[in-house]
Amino acid sequence: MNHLFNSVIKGSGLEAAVGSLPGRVFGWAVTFFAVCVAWIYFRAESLEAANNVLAGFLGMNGFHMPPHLNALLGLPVKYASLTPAGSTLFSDPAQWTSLVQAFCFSLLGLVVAFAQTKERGGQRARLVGVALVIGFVIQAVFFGTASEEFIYFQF
Amino acid sequence: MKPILSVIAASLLGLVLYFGLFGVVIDKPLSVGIFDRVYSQKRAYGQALDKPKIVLAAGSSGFYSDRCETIAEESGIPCVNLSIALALGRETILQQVKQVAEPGDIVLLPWEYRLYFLNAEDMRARISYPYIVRHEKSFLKGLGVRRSLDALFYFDLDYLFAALLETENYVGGKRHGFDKEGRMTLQGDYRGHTAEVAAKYREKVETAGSSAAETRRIAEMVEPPAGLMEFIKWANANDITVYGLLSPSVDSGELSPEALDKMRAWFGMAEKGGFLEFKGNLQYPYTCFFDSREHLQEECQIQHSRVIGKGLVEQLRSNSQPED
Repeated sequence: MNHLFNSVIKGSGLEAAVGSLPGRVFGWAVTFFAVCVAWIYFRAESLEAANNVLAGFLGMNGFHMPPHLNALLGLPVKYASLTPAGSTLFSDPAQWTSLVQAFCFSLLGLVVAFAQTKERGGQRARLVGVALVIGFVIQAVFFGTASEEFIYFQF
Repeated sequence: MKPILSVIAASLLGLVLYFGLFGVVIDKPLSVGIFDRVYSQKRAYGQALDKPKIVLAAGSSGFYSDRCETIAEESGIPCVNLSIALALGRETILQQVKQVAEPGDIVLLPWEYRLYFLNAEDMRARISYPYIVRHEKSFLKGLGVRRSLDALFYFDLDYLFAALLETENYVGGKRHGFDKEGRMTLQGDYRGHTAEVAAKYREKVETAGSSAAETRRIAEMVEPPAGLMEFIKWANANDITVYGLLSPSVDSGELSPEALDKMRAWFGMAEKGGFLEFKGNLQYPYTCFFDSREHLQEECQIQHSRVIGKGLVEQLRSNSQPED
């Protein structure tokens, strides 16, 4: 992907733009997308299954918007309807909290992994990250099945 | 070496923050804190009563279906109802009794049938762990190392978000059913669940069947429920009498005779106490039930408690008569 990208850019006069911050962010996005697509083919049981997943990945099976977001945006039904697979992705508030949880963990993980350790501030940020997540990480790894939703009216 | 020590120090600080946050600061006032508020009220009443007293403890069936107010009237012995929710588990329920019962007292355990066969693993998914960690830390030592760690590391980020949401709702005035003013008698019984209110749950109760079917699971049990024998031993050693009795069930289902034999045998091991038997096995038509097949509506709660009060008096009278 990298070699293909460089060969296209070389001599096109876009070298300076690619080296700029927006160009680098675009490059990261392209790389991330390429890795995700590669994972689909790497993990799928068959080529057909991978193609199906990729089609859904690109929105070719339709979208399923969270009901409250759909109501807010007033989108036409075809964009809000269920996909053929009957997906209810993020229609449940609990799934949103899981998403926020995953985002928080990812963010703190990035801080811990990539903070510039040669700088005092970076080292401190890394230690703060460890202090904030260690309890949750131990919980998730060793005791993850312990916490389940309490059903209010079943006592 | 120094960076490693810094990471270890940060990890230890992180654990202190985690346990401090969930053990002291964060609470779910609507679904966990409510039990602390209600238990505190009940315990305070029970601890202030004259001795001897009756201490009744079960899950929500004991809360809705048994009325200490009536049992005290019938027996002439003051009574406190420590029942709240089955989901808290046997250990938490019995720990509450231990905090209130004193020498000379009588403990009544009209446990739901599920309470006999649900084990600690079933309960860990419920509310006993967050309740213990937040409000009853002294119970942790009784859980052993493995289960204490399970309890201490119960909390994930979902729990944190839910707790913040509940706190916001609670501060905004939201209350759970029995946390409202006037829903409990002084003795800790649920009240106000009249036949009129029960009408809206009629269909649900009618289609729920009878909890009597659950006694088949008790019949299959090889050992007594974990913790029961230890509790009876503790009680008897402290001159406290323990009686087991059936929880009310819909009369459309038949109780397993083998299960009844087992319950008689387990409670029969008590040097002081036993198993209280009642005509008809405390089974009633479904119209007597409130919002579930284990919760009697108020009129039947009072009648049922009258029967229990009388039965207890007869039992105590026969205990005091010298054997021929």
